[in-house]
Amino acid sequence: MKRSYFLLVPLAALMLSFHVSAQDVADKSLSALLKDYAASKESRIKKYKTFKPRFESFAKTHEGSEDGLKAHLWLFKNSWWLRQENKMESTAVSIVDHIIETYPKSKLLDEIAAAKYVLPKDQRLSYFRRIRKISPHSSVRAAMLLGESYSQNGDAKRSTLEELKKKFGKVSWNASTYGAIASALMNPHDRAKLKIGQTAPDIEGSDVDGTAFKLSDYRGKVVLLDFWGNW
Amino acid sequence: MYPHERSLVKKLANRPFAIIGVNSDDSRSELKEVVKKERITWRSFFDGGVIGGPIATSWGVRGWPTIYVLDHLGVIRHKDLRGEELEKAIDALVVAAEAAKKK
Repeated sequence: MKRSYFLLVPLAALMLSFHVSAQDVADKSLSALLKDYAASKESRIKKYKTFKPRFESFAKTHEGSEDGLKAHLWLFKNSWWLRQENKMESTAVSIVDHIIETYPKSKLLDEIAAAKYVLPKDQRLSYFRRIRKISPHSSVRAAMLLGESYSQNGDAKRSTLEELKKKFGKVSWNASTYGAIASALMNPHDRAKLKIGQTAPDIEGSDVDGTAFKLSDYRGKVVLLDFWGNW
Repeated sequence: MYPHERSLVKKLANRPFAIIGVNSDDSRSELKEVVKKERITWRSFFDGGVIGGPIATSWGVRGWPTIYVLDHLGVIRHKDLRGEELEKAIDALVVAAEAAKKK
């Protein structure tokens, strides 16, 4: 889902869609519902609209359970598909209000920060602060601090990132840590050092098997350095 | 991109050239699958399983793919060339790297 914002398909709305009959029977499990969704051949926006009522009714019947929350989170992230009709932000806000009220102690609230782009820009900071104050989980509090930093600039941003590094540096963030991303955000390479004619800053990391290596190991060779992802 | 990269690797085998990736896929297992499926023989840094991982963030990368070409001294020589232009640029730098080695 985090990548969906790269998949802007304005033509999607013009595409012919398959007729999907109304869902008469309630969905029994979230995994089956997600599987149906993944199998749908409709365009992204159509698909969201077709499945929205099913996720809503699932969330209602499973209210209070982890699956219920997951259905709400799905609806939250996917409200992205309502942005063209200017309903994304209002939809996301009402879902996040409901989630905070109903599931304040859930470990899954970190997903709200990951999908921050559906929330109105001027309200993100206050939502993240609110969640950080009520959550007992370091993983959620760390995610909120990182989210807060994205809504800040200058000294405020730096102090948020320093707090993140200090308090939650070792907490894992995707396959990395909050410490690593906080450091990268605080000290990105100077733009001037990434220009043609400059010696490339070294990169230290590990490969697909987890073996450590460095970019500078390849001195003596011409290197095509490719920032890529399979999407 | 993959077929072009595969052909570059094949064409420049045993010459001073390497492709190094910085990968932003979700997990190492996902990366492993892609590597197998697309017959990717070159090495990648795994950048934390997220768009905007620590390496991409340090480098200010905002679009994918972003491509740099470094010469044999590690100096940035080109950015975001594609296709034939990319290939020509690499060829010239490889020849220069070989010439430097002979000196």
